[in-house]
Amino acid sequence: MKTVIVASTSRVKIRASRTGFGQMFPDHDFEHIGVKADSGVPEQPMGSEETLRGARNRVAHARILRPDADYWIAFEGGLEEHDDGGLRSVIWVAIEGQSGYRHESRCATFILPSEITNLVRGGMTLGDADDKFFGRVNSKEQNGAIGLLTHDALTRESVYMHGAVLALIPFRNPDLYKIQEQEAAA
Amino acid sequence: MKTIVVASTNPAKIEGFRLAFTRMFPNETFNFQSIKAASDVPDQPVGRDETLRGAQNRIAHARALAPTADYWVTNESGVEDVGADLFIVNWVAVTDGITFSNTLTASFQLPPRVADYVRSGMEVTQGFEAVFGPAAAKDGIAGIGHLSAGNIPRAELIAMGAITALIPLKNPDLYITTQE
Repeated sequence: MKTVIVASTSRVKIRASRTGFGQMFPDHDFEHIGVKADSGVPEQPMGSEETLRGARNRVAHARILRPDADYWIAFEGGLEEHDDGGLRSVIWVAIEGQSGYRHESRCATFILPSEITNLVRGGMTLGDADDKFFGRVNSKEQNGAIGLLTHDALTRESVYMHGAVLALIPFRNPDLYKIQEQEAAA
Repeated sequence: MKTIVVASTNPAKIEGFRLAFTRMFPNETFNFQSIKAASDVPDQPVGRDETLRGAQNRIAHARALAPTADYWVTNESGVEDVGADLFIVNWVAVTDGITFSNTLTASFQLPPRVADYVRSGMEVTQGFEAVFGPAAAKDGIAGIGHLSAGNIPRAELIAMGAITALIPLKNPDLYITTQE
């Protein structure tokens, strides 16, 4: 049994991580534990780089909080401006193994609806803007804006899960990424 | 029956778009046509901007070649630096002639040996072939099916990106459309 620390207490993120690890390492059992970890960036990160920094910081902080584990994983959602004047979601996934090798992937992006863009530009976080616009409460713990906009063809969980699978590629293929053999979930 | 022109003859890309349209518009039927359309950028685009330009050019050419369709779609794959690493940057572009939408698919870091080949001038597919042999390179954008142990086939990666690109077309009232 390996232990995975998720740098979040969101059930959606914990489930996404569990499914991602399960898909990439079907012969292994993983225990997932969520912890509140700091991102060290604003609550609503702006731009790909700041969002990536938030994911990396959360992984590092989770490791300090729970050093006795095998993997630490963080999902960080931010927004980025695009040339067409729209705001897009940007989500980074960072995973660190015991040796300190860390790897990242970026999830699929989508363009925010115009009115949500306006609310966010007015200072609201994306989660609050989603709730206000769609008239729901705490949509972050459900399928999120992406679920509503795609009629659940994609959900927050499926987007995070695919990001986790992509971020696990080097751990599944350690020889290709020059990482130490013991990092593979052997 | 609506006609979708895919500006690519790559079977994985066509399948990715078929999956996306079926999931986003389950009550409609679609006829898919595939055509070769030039990107007017190098075979291996570098950076987000050049890769996006390639996708937009393919769409424009596809519309000129097949002007009577309902949708024109394409996928253009490039590479970009993220710190010291080389990542895939993969754009999906779609239009119904009124709304133009493009999004990045999920992306991942290329294996360093493949990245070395690409930096020395090879295309990603060739780099993958050099490292894995022809079979592995075929199954994915940069062998994604191979690297993810079959969990994310190339068509699925494109389908997810295509679904997000179709959001403004599926929800036109929520988006101020970009006219060209």
